[in-house]
Amino acid sequence: MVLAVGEADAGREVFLGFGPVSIAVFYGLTLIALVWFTRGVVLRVRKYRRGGPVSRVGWQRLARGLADVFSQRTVGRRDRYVGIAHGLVFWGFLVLFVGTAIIAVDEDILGLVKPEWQFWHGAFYVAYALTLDVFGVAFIAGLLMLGWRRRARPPRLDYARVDRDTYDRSGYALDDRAFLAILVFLGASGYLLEGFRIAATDFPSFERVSLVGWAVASASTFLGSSGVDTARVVTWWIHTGAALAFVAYLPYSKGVHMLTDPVDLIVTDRTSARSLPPVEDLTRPGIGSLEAMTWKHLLDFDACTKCGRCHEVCPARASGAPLSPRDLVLDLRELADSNAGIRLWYGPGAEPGFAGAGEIPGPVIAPATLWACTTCMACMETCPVGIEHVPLIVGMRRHLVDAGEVNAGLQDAFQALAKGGNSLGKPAKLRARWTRGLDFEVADARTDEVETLWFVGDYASFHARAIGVTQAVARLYRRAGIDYGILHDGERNAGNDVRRAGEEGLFEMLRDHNLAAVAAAAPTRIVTTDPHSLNTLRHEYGLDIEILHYTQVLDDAVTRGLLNPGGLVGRATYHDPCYLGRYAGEYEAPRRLIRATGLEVVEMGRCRENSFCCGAGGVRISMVDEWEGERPAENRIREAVALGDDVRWFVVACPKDVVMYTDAVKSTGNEDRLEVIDIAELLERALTTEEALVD
Amino acid sequence: MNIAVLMRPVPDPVEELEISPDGADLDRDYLGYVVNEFDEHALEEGLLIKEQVGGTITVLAPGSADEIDDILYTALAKGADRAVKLGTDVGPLSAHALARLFTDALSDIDFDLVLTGVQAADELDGQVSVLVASMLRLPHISVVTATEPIAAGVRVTKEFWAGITADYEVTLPAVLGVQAARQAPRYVAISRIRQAQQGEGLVEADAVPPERGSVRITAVRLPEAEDGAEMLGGDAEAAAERIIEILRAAGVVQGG
Amino acid sequence: MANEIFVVTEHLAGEVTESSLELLAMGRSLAATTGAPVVAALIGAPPAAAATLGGADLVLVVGDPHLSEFNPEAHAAVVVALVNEREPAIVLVPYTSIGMDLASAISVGCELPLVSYCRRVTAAGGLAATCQLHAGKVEADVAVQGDRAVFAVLSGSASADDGRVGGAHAVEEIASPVDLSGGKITFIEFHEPVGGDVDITAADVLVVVGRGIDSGENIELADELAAALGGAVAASRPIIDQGWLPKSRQVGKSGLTVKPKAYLAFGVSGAPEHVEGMRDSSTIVAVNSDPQAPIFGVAHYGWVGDLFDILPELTDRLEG
Repeated sequence: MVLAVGEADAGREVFLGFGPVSIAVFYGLTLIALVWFTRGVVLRVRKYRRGGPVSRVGWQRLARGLADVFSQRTVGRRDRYVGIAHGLVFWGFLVLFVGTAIIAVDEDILGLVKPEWQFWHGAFYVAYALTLDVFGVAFIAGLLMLGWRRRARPPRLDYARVDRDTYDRSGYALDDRAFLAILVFLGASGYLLEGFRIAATDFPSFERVSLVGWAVASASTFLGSSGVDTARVVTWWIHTGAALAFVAYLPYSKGVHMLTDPVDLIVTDRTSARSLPPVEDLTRPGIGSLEAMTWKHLLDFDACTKCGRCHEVCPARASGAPLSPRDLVLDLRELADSNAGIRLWYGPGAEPGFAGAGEIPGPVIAPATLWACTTCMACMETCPVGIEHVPLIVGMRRHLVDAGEVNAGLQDAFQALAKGGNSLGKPAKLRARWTRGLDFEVADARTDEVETLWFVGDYASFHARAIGVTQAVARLYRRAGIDYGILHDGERNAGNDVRRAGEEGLFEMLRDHNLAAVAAAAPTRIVTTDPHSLNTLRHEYGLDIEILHYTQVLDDAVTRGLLNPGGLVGRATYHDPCYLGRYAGEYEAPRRLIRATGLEVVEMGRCRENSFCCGAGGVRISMVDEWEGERPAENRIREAVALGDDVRWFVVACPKDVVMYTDAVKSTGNEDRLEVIDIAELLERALTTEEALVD
Repeated sequence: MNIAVLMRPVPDPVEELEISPDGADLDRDYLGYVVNEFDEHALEEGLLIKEQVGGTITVLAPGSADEIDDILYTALAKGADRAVKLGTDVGPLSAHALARLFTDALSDIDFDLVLTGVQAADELDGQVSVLVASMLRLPHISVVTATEPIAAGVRVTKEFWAGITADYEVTLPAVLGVQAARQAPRYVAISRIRQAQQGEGLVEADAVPPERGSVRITAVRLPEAEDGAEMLGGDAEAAAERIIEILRAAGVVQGG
Repeated sequence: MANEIFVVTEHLAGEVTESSLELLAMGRSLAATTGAPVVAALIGAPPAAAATLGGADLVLVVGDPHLSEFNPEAHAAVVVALVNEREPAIVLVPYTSIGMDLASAISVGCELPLVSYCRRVTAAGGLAATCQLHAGKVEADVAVQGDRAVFAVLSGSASADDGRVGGAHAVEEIASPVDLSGGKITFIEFHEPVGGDVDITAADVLVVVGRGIDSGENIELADELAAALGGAVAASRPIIDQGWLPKSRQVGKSGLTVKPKAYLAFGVSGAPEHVEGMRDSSTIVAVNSDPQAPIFGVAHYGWVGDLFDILPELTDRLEG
């Protein structure tokens, strides 16, 4: 037994003063903990291996995922407090873990095979001791910050369910608290142990770098030298026991996210909602059971930390719909765990009836829950661990559609789309009727050669309110000298929302029709009015030409001086459409256009990638909201109204928004306060004003 | 229970109708066709019976147009066992001729129950359901809103008016004219229809176009809206103003 | 007696329907042209029910235990036998739930041509009719070859009051001309309609919505206007079938017949089945985006436009 003292060879002994029995007991307990840990990991890996294949490899993915993990940026986005706290815990734990691993390597491997290579002493030891002490403080500070936050009971951490009245989530809350408590205990007992050890080894001067340990040691001298050593031994066993218990408990608790989340962040595909996976097996489309899930789905369920961010941002949840993305994921996790024989430490946690459930949509996830999703992608955008909710929900919808389980509004929309190519049930040949309101002809891209093909879309073509916007866009294109044409009645609904409603066959039918029409017209670029069309044309049609949104084209025209708006005075707010913002990443063009009219843009709290959906997507615009809450569009209008009396315009850039918000200002009684106006209408007004000034 | 469902296409009620140059028919060149909605209910009721007691469903539809294939493949995708396309080119048929066509085709089919829509919007000379039953000398009930298979045959709910209904028991074989199925006609995914198109459920049967009968259209008109109502014109505000005046004159809005 | 005008009347539990009286009125005006007698068949009703059929020259009351409730099989057999026996020139059948089970059966059983959806029937210069096809969107003039035919007549094609008077009104009670035992259809029971939350037949003002309302949530707009007017909301069949309003709010043939002082129709196309239940309203105002909608044929005032523009506008003005 060598007791290394002195600056020259700083260090410490791992099993200071322990007899062979104690050491044997320690290794015995370690073995048990590792067996339990391994068992849990194996059960989970086996669970993932039952999932179907999906390819998620690539260096870029790895690089971005690792950057997400080590920067903790996905945790800190839009919540700096939690970001800092979790960052402290993450880095604290990581360093403490690496520290422990270093001892294991030095003692248990090098100590046995190559003692002369052992390095855990001397200058290295001093640096080690300093580092661990500092990061230990960070670790505990982060944990306390997180614990403190829980005292205020933030709404996103409320596990009350939106889809059923009876449930027991006490296990979840217990798991959260236990996880925090164990970690705090590990950190605190570690410092105590360090302090007692320093005191018991007569305050070796190099240990001064162990700042906290030294302070504890100094404070513990009242125990006397034998008292301190007893305290050291007792604390050693308590700390070690707690650490080993933590290892054994980890895969059966919230702790598992420490294993799953770094992996999930690497393998996640943030584009999976904008270009949905194709249906592999036409005879069994969609996700009807666990067997139809991929390993990524199953990994996603384990990745969830119940942080509740998706629950908070979900427009369906906010309007009282029986959908919470968090609950959906947790339900599926309970199902997957119970089927894989994984029992969590706090109990089964699963709703009664989940075990052995074959069919998922219905017994486990209610169809109304699935139909409530607008596919706005706010959940995926905000999820700090890379869970892909939208493709999962669409997958289950595909199963429902295949089984014919669709509600009346959706069925009407599907049938209208199959018949007339639009969801409004209008005859196909009336698609270009809106052009009658113009005093010029719109070129027919099927017969005239045009550079730009304008893909108008359903609402822009047929809906009484949206037609005004469409005509404004047509006049603006003409003024800007853009050489464009439309497909007239050769256009069909682009199929973006149909696909997201799970009707893949109908999507293919519409896509094939449009592809043939586009191929015949052979334009050099396509411009859409509807951001929804933009998404599917861009990402799901396999077209190899430039596809733009009309705000991008108009922005370009203004930048190049082809349109010179101006003269408007006042303040406006802008609503980012989900499919233009989150899906297409275009936040600036619309804002530049609004500023070009002379108006000042005042941002709502939820803007850009955090924009709040109007409630229309995923064919929800064709369904009846059968629940009681405030509709998403009304919620949004109230947010805009709260910006102040001087914000007069609510500017939108999507025909469905025009329709939804025009209704919402009426139903909330804000018609006099706020004018819902499309950017094209605003721009036209600014051009008229400008001309009036010039005249 | 083996069920035969008779289905026919009708001009799409959503589309604007136009008159043919000779003034005696609709301009059929520009007409879109859809399946008669009552026939869809008949098929749904048939599917519900099949789900309850088993058996087979054979769907029959006349004509050669693409719409007929759509109608039949959709029926197969929903759960019909066999679809028979009658005739190569029969053109628009009178109800009597259509009933004769169905009656002839039914002689080759083993059925206990015939279901079809209670009426179609263009059936000028009778209802196919009752005509077929009478030609086959089978019992029939029209305006059926529910069925329930029973040991002796079928228990049927017939709707009268003002919400009054009556139940009957019918021994089989019989013909029912369905007004509405117990539940709204189900949706079938397009991919299922595509799969039905790959299958062999659809057969074509030769059929001789029957005589058109002795009822002839001499002229067709689209009734002028202005025949009845005094049209208000103007925008929504002006019209609302006028409507309130009218309501005031009718004594249902007070004051002035 | 050849040339006679044979009217198939109908009743539920002995109560003769308005449609029957309308057919008698139509029979009388045909009799004025042809000079033939009007014979009404009243099947399975108590003889006292014949009292209202004053427009008939002869009422044949057919009595048989198998006929006391409507039975499609038994009633069709009786009517076919009577028509074959009497060989009338014109057979008028109501185009109703009962008449539907009879008209086509007569056509086949008596080998007579049949014209359905009739609004008008004429006998001067050959048998002819005017029919409403395609849910009232098309009106067709129809000529019948031959001198005998069956006409299935839409409700509301003549005045019921005119059918109560004008005939010789002899009443003859006869037994069923055919043996009705061993039938394949057995009447079991009647079901009365279930009561609803609001009695739309009692309201002075009805705000009525049709397919044009697009979605169930938009019915709120109608609720608001009805509240402002102190009236009730009703609907046409598609709205009921969607489950957006209960059956007790349905106006039309299979729903309720209403006669409010003011009937405001929004997005109601005006199919004959609907019109049947509301045409006697004192003032009818219709709003529809389709200028061809048949509702404008029955309305007193019409406006072509978007109901979503005018509905809130009306509510605002009434409240303001």
